Amino acid sequence: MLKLSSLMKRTLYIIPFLFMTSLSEIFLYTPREQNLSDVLWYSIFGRVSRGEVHTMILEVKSLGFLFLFAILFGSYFSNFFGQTSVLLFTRIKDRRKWGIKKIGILCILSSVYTLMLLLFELAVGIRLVAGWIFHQKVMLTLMAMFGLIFPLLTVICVSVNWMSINHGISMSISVVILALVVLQMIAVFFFDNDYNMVLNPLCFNSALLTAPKLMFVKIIVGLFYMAAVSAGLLLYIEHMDIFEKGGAKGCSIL
Amino acid sequence: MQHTLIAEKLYKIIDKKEVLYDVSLNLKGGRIYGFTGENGSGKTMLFRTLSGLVRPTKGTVFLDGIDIHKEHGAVKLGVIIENSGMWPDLTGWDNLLYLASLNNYISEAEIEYAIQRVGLDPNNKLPVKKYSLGMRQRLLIAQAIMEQPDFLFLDEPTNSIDQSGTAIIRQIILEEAQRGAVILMASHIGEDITKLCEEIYSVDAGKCVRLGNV
Repeated sequence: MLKLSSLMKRTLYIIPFLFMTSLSEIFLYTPREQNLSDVLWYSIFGRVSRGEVHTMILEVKSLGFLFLFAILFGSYFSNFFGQTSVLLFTRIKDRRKWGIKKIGILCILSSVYTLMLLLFELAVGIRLVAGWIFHQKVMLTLMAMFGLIFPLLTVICVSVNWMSINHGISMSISVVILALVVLQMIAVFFFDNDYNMVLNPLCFNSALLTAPKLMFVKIIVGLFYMAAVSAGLLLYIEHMDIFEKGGAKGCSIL
Repeated sequence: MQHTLIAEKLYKIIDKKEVLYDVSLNLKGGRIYGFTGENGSGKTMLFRTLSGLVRPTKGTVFLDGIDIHKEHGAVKLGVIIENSGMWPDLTGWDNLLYLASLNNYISEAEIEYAIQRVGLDPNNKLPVKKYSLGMRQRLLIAQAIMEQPDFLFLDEPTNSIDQSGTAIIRQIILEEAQRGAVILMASHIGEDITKLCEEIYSVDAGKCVRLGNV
């Protein structure tokens, strides 16, 4: 039962993680003439190409920050469904409103986490680019990346939280990690498939980088997934039977 | 207005097993109803269903005319069910403060009074995980009564409490009944039933039978 301020502090854990994964860029790389927007894209996404088809796929190393987020915040909901659930849910007047509030907190956390990720990558990116000048394209790139990553993080977090209510955090994180790995494999093996590029949250056609309308569609698909998973969780909470489970979760840990 | 609890033909099936079978109740405020039965007979499941925590497979529960499973939390409840507990890393005070903040029915002074009423110290800085079993049970009683609920569901309320504490808890239950609450109490302790309850029900294999007045 952590306060929002304490939860926000947990988002800082991404900084040392990103630092460790970016050591070579920070300390060994020599700045050179290149486009900061491209540097930002390729810090998170890799590219798979065949002929004219270029697909941007979430880098394997980028899966790490997704896993970290799931570990940090995946048990947020399950903390309310332990021994204290009886005391809580005999008082909560509207489970749906309560659920919306909690999912809202997860959305705030995922947006802060995404911002930290992007700011860090921007700082590293500036380090890598010689003669850097800040311009509108970089802003648009950051906004687009936020629009792609934020819904993905929220979907992952809400999914882990949903499963952890009944199955515990370890099982939930394992299942979600497995799902992400499968999606990553599908993204790579079917990189030239249009449906894969639109529906798979881990990849998109690189033409989106220069076509705002296509980018907008991709972001809308991500937001749809986010809304669908959140709505599912809300319906579940509204109708679930509340049993006091296991030991009461401590208020300081996952 | 006298509070009423009406349960109509409740059934609950879990994993193809009938844990509640055709339970109907008509209970009034200002009275204490005792529920007896063996372990696993369905007393706790009945309390969970009547308090809105568990949805019945069939049947409805009306508390003051409100379907509790359609409007969760529409009435004030005080509930102790086996294995329920508090947040272990918080003090007793912080636990009750958080629970009271969910609806803001009461002030800090009333929280303090509830803690003192059960014989605990509101200024105790120990986290609940360091409480004895008896202290935890008293704290659970405090959270159940602090908001002056209209319906009290007490599952083994004097469990783990010493003799002097038991006398305090029994007195509190009587006072809550005098206030007009509908009180349902499950207990294996015969004295709790005979000294407090006006009507007794027996629960066996999910069926609930009225045994009569005490």
